Amino acid sequence: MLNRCVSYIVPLMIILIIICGLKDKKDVFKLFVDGALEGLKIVYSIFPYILAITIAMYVLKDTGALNILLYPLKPILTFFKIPDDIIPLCIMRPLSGGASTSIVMEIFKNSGPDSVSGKMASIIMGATETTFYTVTILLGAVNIKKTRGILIAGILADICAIVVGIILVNLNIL
Amino acid sequence: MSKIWSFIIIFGITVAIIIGNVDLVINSVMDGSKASIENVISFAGMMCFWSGMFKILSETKIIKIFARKFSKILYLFFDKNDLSDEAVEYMSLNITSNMIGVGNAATINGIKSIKELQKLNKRKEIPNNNMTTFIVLNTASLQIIPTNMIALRALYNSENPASIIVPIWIVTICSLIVGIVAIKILNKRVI
Repeated sequence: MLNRCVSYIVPLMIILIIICGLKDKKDVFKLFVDGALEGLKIVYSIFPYILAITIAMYVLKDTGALNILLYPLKPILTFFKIPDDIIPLCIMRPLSGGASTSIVMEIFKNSGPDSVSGKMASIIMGATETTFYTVTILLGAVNIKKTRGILIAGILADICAIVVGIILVNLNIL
Repeated sequence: MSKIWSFIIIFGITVAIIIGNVDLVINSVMDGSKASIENVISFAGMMCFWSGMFKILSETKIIKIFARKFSKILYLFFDKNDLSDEAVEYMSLNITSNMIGVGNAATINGIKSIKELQKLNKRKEIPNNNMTTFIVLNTASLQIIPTNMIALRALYNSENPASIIVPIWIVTICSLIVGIVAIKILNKRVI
């Protein structure tokens, strides 16, 4: 039911925007085309940042470096009843939306969406954002290299999301 | 950012050399570049579409009224003095698009907001407090209904695809509080 309602929001919003434009006697078509060009310029200017972060991620994953980084974590995982398969997700989630989605799909395929790791994966994926990617793109747009406290705060928020998510599933109250 | 990026690349390549899989390095670089192009191509059209739509919206009277209403919420988190009317407009659009889960529209409005914030930034090479807070707000997922996740769960035959909504809300609120508190403290410490 809720889902059904949500799917109406975006189409209605598009209609609303066009009607508001027409009501204020604006050249809606010209504005749309101008705006689309602006969008294209933005895509053009953020592409190098996307490239840099995607390559770094692939190098980390494909060379096996990720597994080495994860190795010392193993005992902690078993102690807190954290399934192995969600750890790559926790690492990849801040870096890349595409890669983390494919990890989630892998978990769903292997253990099912209603299993413990399936639920954890759904919650972690749904409640966090691609932190590094967002920071890179937003700061890249204004050509700033200093991040001050952004990365620490973003990562703390992600860790909090992962921990609370795991606790919620392990408690099994919802 | 620069340090993290260099570390990832150097560490990855070193591991490949030690293990003896040097071929993997160039393959992963190639795969990565290919994936980034595919990504960009797949969302470029939608980004342009939303950019066009919001360009129409930005010229209407409705958005001015909406931004004025929304600015009261923004003033809770942001410093009034470094906030122009244009910045408030784009920021309110960014946050609403994040909430209804239109990622591409959120990105476009986010970039426009940060450009407006940068205009009032006194030291151009360092983000000011409003910029850091705004970015942290963007790294927390504000989406009210996680539509993509529900669709994905349904695709894999979940018994109750929407059962994760409430846990996601709880988790999002916790992480949002942690993120905002952390950046407020760090804003004072790291200058």
